[in-house]
Amino acid sequence: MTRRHARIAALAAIPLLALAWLATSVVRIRRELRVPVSLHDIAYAGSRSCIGCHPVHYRTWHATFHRTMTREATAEAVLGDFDNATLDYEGVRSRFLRDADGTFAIETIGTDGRSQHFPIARTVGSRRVQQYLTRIDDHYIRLPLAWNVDEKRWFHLNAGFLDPDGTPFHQHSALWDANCIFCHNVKANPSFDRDTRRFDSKVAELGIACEACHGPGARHVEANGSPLRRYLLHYGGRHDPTILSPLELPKERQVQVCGHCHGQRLPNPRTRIAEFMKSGDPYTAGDDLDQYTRPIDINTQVPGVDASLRFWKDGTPRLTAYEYQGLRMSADYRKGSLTCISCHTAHGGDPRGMIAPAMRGSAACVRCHEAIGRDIAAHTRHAPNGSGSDCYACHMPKIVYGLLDVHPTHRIQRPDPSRAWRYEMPEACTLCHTNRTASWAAQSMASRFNTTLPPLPSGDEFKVAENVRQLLSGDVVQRSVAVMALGGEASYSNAANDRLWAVPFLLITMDDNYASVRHFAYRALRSLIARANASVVAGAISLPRFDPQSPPDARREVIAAWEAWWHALDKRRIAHPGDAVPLDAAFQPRRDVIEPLRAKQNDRMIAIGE
Amino acid sequence: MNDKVRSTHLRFGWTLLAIAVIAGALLESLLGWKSSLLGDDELRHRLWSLAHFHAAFLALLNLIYPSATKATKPSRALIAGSVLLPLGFFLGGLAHPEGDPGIGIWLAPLGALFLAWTGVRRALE
Repeated sequence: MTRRHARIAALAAIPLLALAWLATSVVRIRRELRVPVSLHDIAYAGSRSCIGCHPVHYRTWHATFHRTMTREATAEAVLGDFDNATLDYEGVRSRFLRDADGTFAIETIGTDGRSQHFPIARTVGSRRVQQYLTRIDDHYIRLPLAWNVDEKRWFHLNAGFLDPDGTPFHQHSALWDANCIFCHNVKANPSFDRDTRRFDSKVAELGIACEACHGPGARHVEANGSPLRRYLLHYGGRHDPTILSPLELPKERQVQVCGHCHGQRLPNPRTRIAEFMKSGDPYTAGDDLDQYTRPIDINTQVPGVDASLRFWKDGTPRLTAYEYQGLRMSADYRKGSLTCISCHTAHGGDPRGMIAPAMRGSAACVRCHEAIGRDIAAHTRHAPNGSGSDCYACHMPKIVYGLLDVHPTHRIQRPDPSRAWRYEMPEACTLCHTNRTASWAAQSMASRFNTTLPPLPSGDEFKVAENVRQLLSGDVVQRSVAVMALGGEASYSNAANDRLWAVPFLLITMDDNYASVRHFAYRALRSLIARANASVVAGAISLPRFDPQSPPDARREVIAAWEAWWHALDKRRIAHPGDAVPLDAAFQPRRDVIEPLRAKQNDRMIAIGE
Repeated sequence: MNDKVRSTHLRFGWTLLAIAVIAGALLESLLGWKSSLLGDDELRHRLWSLAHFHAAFLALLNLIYPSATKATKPSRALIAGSVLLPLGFFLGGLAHPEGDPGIGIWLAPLGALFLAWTGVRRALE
């Protein structure tokens, strides 16, 4: 062999060896990708390990309120006013301050009734409400005072939960390690020792991070250090078994990833709670959630709690954190392919609601219901651009209470006015047509849609506008839903002043014995005033601010000022809502009608489970 | 100095420099007008900057190559490396999966091998 031949051979050997290495590596990786991996045996890597390969997914998740669900109480995380702010509630003055070392702290009464200083260790929530945890010995306690993010004010949690006045101050001082920890973090483990009665809580990551939905990622991170493996995944159309993509799950498992937190549940069997407390929540994304827990429904028996009150009488959830149950009751899920991520996304769009941009409004519905989308008015029998043609208004009406707001139900149903008298629940038509009776809605629907008219209710109470009826005689959730509908933007009329007739009913509701309902009433009042013609509501702007948790005398003083304003207002430019609304010619409530309704008011307490 | 070496590398060097300068101007324009082609994609920005930088640097290397070597033949390895390395960066940024350059990036290490080979050859000269 000449020197030249030897050089050519050496030169050829290098690429051949490289090709051989490449080929064997490809075969090895392809074989490895075919082997299923149990995510249970894998360690959690933390969200920061995802940035390098998934910068866009990381950035979009980072913008969500999921990320900030639980945080250490740093200056960046804390949203409340800790600049020596105060809150007076039930005769207790609480102070919000910073210690000399910068630690955030709350001074309020402890469970022993004596004033105490609670350094803040962690925050929970960041969108609507921020709650605060203090560490006491081995555990964290959620304090009963919280920050209303939208309204930038302190409030007592008795107004965030559905509690009447007089509820004990520490009713909602909760043990974080045994409650909140499970849904507000990744892979929670209270590590509770039954013998010593001590916690040693651990979470894979504070807040709802990547691995809550994609499973533990340590092996995925390690394996994909190889560029060859990554490129085989990028261009080979293969699924990586070391990580979970909820999109690739069958629909039942897919909704369970969200339902793990957005569907209140109990360990299955109930005795399994000890395992949860000792070893942590066994669920890993992709598992069959039903193996470990059962979602709470209207028939669930919970010792000491009437869980049925968390549902309307037809079984529809009436509280948030039951979206999973609502969706599973929907025909679009049961018979179709609708899942949470048909509309929601953790990666893009407005973090509020986490709705994918392409799924905003009716667009989400008409993607599947194309024929309806082509002629929406033919389907709705309402003007195509009005509230009556908003899919949500009729099929996902706002009838669910949670976190200082009323939200759309996730049980997607056809509107049926008879639910008002069959199940004593709000129904879609009269949440917009707030001045109409449920019977009117039923008759109108039967004639417009050429359907059979159900037997109508006979009681006198159903001769009153349904929204007003539920506002006066319903339980706390009915009243919350009704009062928010009175001030809501979805309406039978776009005229600025047409709905001001609701003001006297809102003023009545501002004297409710539930602070949450009073809060909604004042919000609805401000909303109506803000949308009304300024010349009609002149003077309202200078009226005193209403604090739903101030002492009764202070509240009544404010209400009296508003009543005096309403009494003196020139109402000639306000349309009378019709006979179904019990108002006299001077737009004052007809006591002969409303008092019997108020006497029927259902005052049962609803325990919002956590 | 061999005329063929000189003319080949000078012609190639000036051509590559012209491409690199035009590409640089385009890159600056995209930045100046806040084009979404670059603005939303940090990886593409980085890869195209690398393509521009390497093309300009390798163009200069080709321009000085004839006066820095005793070679009697033009270096095909240097020319191949000068094409493949910036081209790999450019293609890698053109269309890419999240977090990784597009598959064209594999031309870049190939180009680097050619350049390394050129360096070794010249060092042993």
